[in-house]
Amino acid sequence: MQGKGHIIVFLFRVILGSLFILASIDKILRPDNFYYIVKSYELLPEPLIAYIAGILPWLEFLIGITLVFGIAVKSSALLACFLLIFFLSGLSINYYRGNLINCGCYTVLFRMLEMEETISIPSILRDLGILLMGVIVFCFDREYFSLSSFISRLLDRKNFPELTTAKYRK
Amino acid sequence: MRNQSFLRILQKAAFILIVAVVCGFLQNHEMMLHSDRYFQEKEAEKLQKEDAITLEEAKEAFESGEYIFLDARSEEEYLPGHIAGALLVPAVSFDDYFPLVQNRLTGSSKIIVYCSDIHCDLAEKLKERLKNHGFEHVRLFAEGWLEWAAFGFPSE
Repeated sequence: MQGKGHIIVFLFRVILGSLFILASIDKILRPDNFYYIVKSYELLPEPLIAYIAGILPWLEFLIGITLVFGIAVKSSALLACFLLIFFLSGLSINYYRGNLINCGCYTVLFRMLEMEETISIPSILRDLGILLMGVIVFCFDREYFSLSSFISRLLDRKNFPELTTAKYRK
Repeated sequence: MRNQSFLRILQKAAFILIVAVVCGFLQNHEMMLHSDRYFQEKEAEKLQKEDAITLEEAKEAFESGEYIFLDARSEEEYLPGHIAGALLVPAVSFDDYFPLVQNRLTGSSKIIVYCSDIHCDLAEKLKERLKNHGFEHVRLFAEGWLEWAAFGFPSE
């Protein structure tokens, strides 16, 4: 992917990261509430729910931070895709069951708007769109405007000045 | 692009996962290791709040006829079943619904708010909104509609 493609992938990376950070904040601040949301999905065995409710928000937050700053982008995008497949399964199974519970998605936004989002086709389509973004970032990201490429350039310049000068002259 | 092998990508992903597990465990170890006890204590705390009432007290208040019950859930949840005589004031659309019941309330009205069960926080929100509107005698029936209905108390 060349030219504008890099910019689009970069934008997708930042948007995806920001969405993950946004989704994680309320869950980190109110783990009890998130526990009841995970429980209401009726998918996981009881002893596992507390572990998922405690760890998953932090995973979302770290994925978000690493994507926004461009650190280990492919690894974060891969984790993001797995998480989104997990969320999509939960949403779809409960939609199919007719169990239209509180989605628990982007609760910080919905709390600000004093609203509650129940599971619906638009919420499934939205997550599919975000998954597509994750796949694009995973496949095409070239660390454009990322912290890891910035650091590696700095290290290259320091350790191999003659090589990097030649490289950047091209 | 630096050629990253898939193994390297997986290694970094595992590292992110481990950091998430450590952060999650540090913050929520009590919830994760003793979830039953943790949530029992939380529920007890909610029930012991100064302005909270139990199911029995709610029933007595209902029978006394001195209290007005306000349902903080959505209209979709309210219509299939609610405490007999309870008025609908969804906490999430307070400004739309409150004017409809305002003429039945005065500053000295004794009000009981409830939502679906002890885990929902809509009743708590409604209570705060009512207090901001000058209603002082607002009690929270934390166990809510599901518990009321389970005991077969008057509903409609």
